[in-house]
Amino acid sequence: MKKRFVLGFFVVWSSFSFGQSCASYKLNGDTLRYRSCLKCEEAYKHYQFSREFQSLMDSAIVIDSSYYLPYRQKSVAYLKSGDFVTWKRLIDKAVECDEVSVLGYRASCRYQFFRDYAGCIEDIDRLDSLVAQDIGEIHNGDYHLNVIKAISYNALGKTAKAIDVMEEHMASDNFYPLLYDYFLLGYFYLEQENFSRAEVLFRQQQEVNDIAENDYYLARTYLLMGNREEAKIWIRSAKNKYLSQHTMYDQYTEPYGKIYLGDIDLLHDEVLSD
Amino acid sequence: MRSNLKTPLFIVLVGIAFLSALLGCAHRHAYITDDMYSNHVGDITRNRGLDDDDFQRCFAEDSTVQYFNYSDGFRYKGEKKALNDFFNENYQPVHKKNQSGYIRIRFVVNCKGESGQFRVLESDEHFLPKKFHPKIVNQLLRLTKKLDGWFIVSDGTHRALDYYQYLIFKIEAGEIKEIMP
Repeated sequence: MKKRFVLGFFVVWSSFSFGQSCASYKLNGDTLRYRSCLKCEEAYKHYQFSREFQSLMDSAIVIDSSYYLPYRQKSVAYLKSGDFVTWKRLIDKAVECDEVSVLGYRASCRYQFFRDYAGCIEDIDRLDSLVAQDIGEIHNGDYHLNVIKAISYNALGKTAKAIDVMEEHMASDNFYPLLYDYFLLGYFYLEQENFSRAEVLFRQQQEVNDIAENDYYLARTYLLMGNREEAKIWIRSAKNKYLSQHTMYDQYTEPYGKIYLGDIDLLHDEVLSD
Repeated sequence: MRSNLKTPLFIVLVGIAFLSALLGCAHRHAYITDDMYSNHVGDITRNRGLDDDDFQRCFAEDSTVQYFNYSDGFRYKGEKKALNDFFNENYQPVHKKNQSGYIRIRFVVNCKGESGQFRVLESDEHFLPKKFHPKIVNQLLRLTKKLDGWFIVSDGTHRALDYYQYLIFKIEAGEIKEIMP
């Protein structure tokens, strides 16, 4: 009886909450936006890949063609199925309607799904120019937008710039470490052969999110510093963590800096060789 | 005099507002959809001219899931590293003009881990449709068809499923720069 009450309360509360988010448009006198928003909520009852979902979002667009949300929501199935042509057409419409609400999301998709590093940087810089407040995190919360901007610079061969972006981000008042921040900055410093700084950052990462990739690159750092004994410790640790699934993970795509068992084994052999 | 003008004026104002709303929808970001929706975005249906007769899904086309629906994401024997190594070792760069952009090859992996029903999508660096040199596309397609390490995806009851998988090749000057996902 108690479980049914809680479930019932949750269903009612959820319905009320969704209705409330659209209700704000009604309170502001934007009837078209309100009706379009309600149509979007009707679509959410269906799987995002389904014809029903796509058609209901189309209906939301017919009601209010300047509302960014249905374009953005339609785009997700195309994003996840790798249809970059249709995805871009839809997400660009969403950005046209509301840059501030969508640019960060488009930036993160460009980085995560298509490795469009230049496009990612462009979107983040544009968003930064439009808002005074913190530009925020990517859609899944794994990274701050400034971190994927730094990743993008690194991927484009501009590691010094990547480091500048990360250091500035980490020095900001609002900074708090997310999943891979220290690891990534350590990775960038390692690339610049600043081994002492890399070592410090990899050690900091261990306190936040203790992953195999971090130990792998810590091992590599020690090897390059000529400390083979420490390198052995950390490459073994990397393997143990990898096998117990303490590793970078994303359901859809490959995280930047991800390593695999084959990489660990190769480095392991290198560490143990004379 | 004033009271006689109020009603028709009100009607005129409402009419103007209504027409404005209609015209506003017409010129504000007119949305165009040229898709005839299949049951699900990206559904691949059998094409006897393109598809190998030997490849069969285990279940109805409508039951095919996406690679990320049940499993731990992208899964290939030897992991992504093995797949990357395969293409690094076997793909021959094609150094022709204007060969940069994205090529997606999407296909079905059946409940036995076999792959088939390959479809190609191509764009330039700005995600606008483009045709790459056939030497690039045909190579990638041939190599993708050779991949035989696809994991079987199962649902919560351990029933093996058919699923859609894709590879996106980021191409720069005829060379593979990255393979997603």
